[in-house]
Amino acid sequence: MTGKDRYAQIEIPAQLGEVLEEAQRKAAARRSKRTVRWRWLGSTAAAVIACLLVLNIPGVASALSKLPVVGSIVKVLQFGTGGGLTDGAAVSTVTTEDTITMVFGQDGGSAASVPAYTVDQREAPDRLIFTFNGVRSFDYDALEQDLLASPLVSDVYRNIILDDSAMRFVVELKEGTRHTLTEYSNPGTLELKLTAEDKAAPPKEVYYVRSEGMPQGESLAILEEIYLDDDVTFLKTTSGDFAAVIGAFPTREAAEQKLAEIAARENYAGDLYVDNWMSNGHPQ
Amino acid sequence: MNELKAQLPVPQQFAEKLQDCRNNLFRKAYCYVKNEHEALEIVSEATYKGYLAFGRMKTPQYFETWMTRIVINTAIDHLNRNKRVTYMEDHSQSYTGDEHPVPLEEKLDLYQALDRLLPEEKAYIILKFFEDLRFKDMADILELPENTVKTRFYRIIGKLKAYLKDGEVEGV
Repeated sequence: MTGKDRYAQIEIPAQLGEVLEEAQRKAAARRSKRTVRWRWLGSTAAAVIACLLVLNIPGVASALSKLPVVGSIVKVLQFGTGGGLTDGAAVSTVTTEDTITMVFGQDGGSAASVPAYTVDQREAPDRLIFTFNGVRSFDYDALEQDLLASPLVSDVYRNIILDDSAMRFVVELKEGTRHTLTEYSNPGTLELKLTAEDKAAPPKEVYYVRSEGMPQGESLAILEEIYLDDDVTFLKTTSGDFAAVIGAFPTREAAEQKLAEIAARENYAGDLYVDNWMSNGHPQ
Repeated sequence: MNELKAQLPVPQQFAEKLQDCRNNLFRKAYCYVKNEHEALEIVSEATYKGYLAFGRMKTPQYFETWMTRIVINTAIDHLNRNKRVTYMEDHSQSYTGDEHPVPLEEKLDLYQALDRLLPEEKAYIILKFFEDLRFKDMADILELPENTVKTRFYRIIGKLKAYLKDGEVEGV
């Protein structure tokens, strides 16, 4: 049998249609949020500032943290999407030795499912980017504290989204850390398990198209809107600011090619440049 | 004029066009990871990206070409993120050829040989040998000049021939 025959005989899974429909639903939800956000940009910056404020609701956290995690496993993943549509879900965390569990609540009780989420895994530096939609009472301080307590986490910081029902944060992992996410329902919980690998990959030089460093805020969030389709992410700089980054690319030429593609666009504002750093480091 | 401004709403247009090519897109994704679950993740992520960018597409008749490019890029990102790459010594050689694929399939299992290639190289084999595309069509998908596609294709063929010579590909 030739390779072509084997290719033709690749079995199409029964759930393909369902998976693609779900992806389109999520994208449609994202698009509607983007539309709302662009309208919102014309309104008061105070609303954006409000998004920067972390809601710390100890009562909710305390109540939720007592929930036993005995739910049914929905999926195990390293990155991807999951959860369901919710609005106003509350979040708190429970931590054991190598596991951080995010517990979701709704209307004072436990939530049946995890709110819609995306987990993106990136390199240079190794990090996980969590985005939750339909959450409003997010005890971020407790979450950050719990994550930073892990010896396998090097840093945790928020990324600002122009949507007051969404939350995004970045978990930078120590080199050679493996992770597994498990989503449970009834109650809706998301468990992040971290383990140390025997040997980390050696650091290498990587190239990015990046913005200047700037404080967290509206300017960065707007960059996400502009470069969303370029797969932009946000990294903490060595000086504690944040930069929008597109990459990583293995060579300067590849990064310059990407920058040239962006620069050719009609509305490009000239706010990006090519930079490089080690895969275990951060931009200046 | 943008043909997407037709009677059908954009989400319906996208869904209908995707329906026509979704199996092909899945097969391509599967070739990269040889794993149903991960291939589903790749086509799901590609669909998400494609849906968001669909409104800016000016030539809907090339939808499959465009979605194929997104699937390929998503699959490459997926493999790079997961470091599931077998880096091999590059046995680059100069090859010249025409539109007719070399009879490499008679000598080795190209489907299996995909696993020996870098993520960025796999598309050249999938599109040429499994989908029988012309270099011009490959160039459209990969957004590269046709000559660049030819050069890279023959370099990859050279690499596979070197593996064949070294006996590195099983089942030969």
